Amino acid sequence: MITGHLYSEQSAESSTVSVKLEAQNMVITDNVGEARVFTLDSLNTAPKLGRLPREIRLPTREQLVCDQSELLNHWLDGEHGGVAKLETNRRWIFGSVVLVPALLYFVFGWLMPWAAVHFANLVPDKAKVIASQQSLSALDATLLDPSELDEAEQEKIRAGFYDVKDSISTNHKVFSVQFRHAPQIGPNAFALPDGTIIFTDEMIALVDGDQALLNAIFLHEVGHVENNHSMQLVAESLFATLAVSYFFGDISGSLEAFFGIGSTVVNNKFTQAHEADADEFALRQLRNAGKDPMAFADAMKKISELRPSASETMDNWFSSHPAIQSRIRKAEAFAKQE
Amino acid sequence: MDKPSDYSGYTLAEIKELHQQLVSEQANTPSTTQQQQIEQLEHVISARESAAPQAAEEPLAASMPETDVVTAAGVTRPAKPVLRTVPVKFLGITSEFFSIWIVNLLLTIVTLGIYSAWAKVRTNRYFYGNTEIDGHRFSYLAEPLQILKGRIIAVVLFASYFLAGYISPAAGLIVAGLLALLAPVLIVLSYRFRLRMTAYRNVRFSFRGQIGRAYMVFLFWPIISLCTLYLLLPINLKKMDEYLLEGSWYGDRQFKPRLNTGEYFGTGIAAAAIGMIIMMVGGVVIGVTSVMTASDTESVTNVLGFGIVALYFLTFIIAGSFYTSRIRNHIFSATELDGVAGFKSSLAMWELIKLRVTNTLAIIFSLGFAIPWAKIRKAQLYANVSNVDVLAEPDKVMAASGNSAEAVGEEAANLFDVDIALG
Repeated sequence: MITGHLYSEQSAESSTVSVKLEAQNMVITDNVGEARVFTLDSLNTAPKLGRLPREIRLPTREQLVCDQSELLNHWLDGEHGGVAKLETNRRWIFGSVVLVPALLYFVFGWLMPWAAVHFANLVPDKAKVIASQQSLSALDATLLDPSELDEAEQEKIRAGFYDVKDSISTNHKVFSVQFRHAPQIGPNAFALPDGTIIFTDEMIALVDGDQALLNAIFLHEVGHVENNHSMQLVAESLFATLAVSYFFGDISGSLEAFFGIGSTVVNNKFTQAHEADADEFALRQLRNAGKDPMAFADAMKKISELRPSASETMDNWFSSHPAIQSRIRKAEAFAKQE
Repeated sequence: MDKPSDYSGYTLAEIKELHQQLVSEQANTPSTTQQQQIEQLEHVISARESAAPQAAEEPLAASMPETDVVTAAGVTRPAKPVLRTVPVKFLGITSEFFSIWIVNLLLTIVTLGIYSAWAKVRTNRYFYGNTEIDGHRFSYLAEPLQILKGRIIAVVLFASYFLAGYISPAAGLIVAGLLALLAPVLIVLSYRFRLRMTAYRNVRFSFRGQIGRAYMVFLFWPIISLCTLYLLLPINLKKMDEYLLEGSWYGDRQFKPRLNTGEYFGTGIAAAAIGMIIMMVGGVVIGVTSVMTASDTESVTNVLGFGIVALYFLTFIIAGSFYTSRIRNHIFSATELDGVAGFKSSLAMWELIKLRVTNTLAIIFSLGFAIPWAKIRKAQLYANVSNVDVLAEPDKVMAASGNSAEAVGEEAANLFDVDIALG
């Protein structure tokens, strides 16, 4: 005998009823003996879930709630198990335990970067020009001052870069090099999406104006532009944030904080991959241009002298660039092989 | 401790009647507190009568808490005796939920997130449906397509913010500003959606908070609190809780909070103090440990780095648990579902800390597989410390629908009902 709670459609009133299932009909009898008949089609039932009592909405907008039983489940669901069938199937559960970590690795490690690359390629050049100009304006207004190198020196360095650029082939055609004085940033070089590359005076000073080292860094930046890294990173960050949000949804409290740190780490993994790509580009192109790839290793060594990394482990997690020692090691290994 | 009672919710007739009652009682068994109360009532009566004669028949506040009576001791207490006190029961179990969670996660990843709307519905149905009060369970009524609609909108909003920031930092700021201005609307919409999708005994909850007041509470007050260097943050938090509670209805009954600003200030200041002490003590401990145990720069940096991250979590958890447990307990005891139910929470700070620390560690070391276990444990703890005082059989609570204008409003709201909250 199936019993259930019957809830009124206009108040929180509830009564106990007994339920009989006959072919396609459900007969509900209340405690004064009055029976009503409803066809299976007229009922709106929530899908089976765990051991939850079945919630059945009657066409009168009353709600009938009955504990699960094989009889009732079979009558309501027929052969359609729905997702509940998968959730209670050992093979599906075990398979999920194995596949979920594997798929996550695949999605974050391969799918997102791949999608980001294609997404990045869709961005029109005009947008890149605007973005670059806007970014540079913002930086000039805040962290960057006009260069304190004299024009002759700037031209000399620039000429060296264009020489190198002419001896390699690139998809992107227009590169323009500018210099800035950046006391708050220190020695640095960065590329904007439209091919504008900025060197800080402090970087020139760090390498004592050594053109060979500067060329190596120049090619690294060219690598960023060629591979469309900045737009790629925007896409990767967007995808990663959405993925974490929708895969893991409502994690609250300290775990949110954890995911905050977690997403920084994920982001760092993306930027580290880009940096490694740019390093590789620089090394290969140095060779193509007939220059010594060791120049890149030397440039990295100069930088590491200035900012020694305290811990490679910390860098792996919390730095946007790969640990400087590993970059030097890779560069030296490349330079030594012929 | 005598607190002046608030008579703004009573009609003049009721106050006069009470005055009469007390005067006769004073004649039999005099007491000073009772005499003070009589005088207070007389004061209120003359104030009302001189204010606006016709309005004197109306209660000053919009609501009429028929259930509250002022007793001789000056303490407000529900007139209706508590019929019974029932515990909140959570019936979900980890083994069952783990299977549901992991299979749904697989489907979500494989569909690149689209199935997440279905997963969310199943998860909420599991937690709501396994929460039982007085022999009846809650229902979660949202349809996956509604959730999906909301998520698509959220993705579009978020992506446009991201991309705008790329094209131009200025544009990014503008979009962020616009989204911030829209925040109160989004908060109201998603809270409204969540409540409407919740039902108990086939009667839905609803949220009727005004959007104008949402702007005060979620935009205006945070700015003020920021300007006062967060000194006024407790008031802001109290107003937010009050706004959300007062706007909540079960059927045709409103939730009536009587929140105490002092409680918010006290708890807020204490929580901040606890946080600072932990940070300072923890900082010293980490510093000393890293120097004593580590031998080279690399290990010292590692110990420092990870030590600081751990300290950050500990502070967050301890100070946060202190605040959460105290305020939750306060809100429960201070809120009544008009004439239907009172609430009690006995959440102990240490229980909450233990829960959060073990959950966090378990999730980290299990690489995420302990998430379902953590969610079930949390639901169990919160249910175990919560009780409901039934004041009247809920039979009389009417579903706020039918021919009333409410229904039309609800249907229109349906179109705009999107669960916009990210995640």
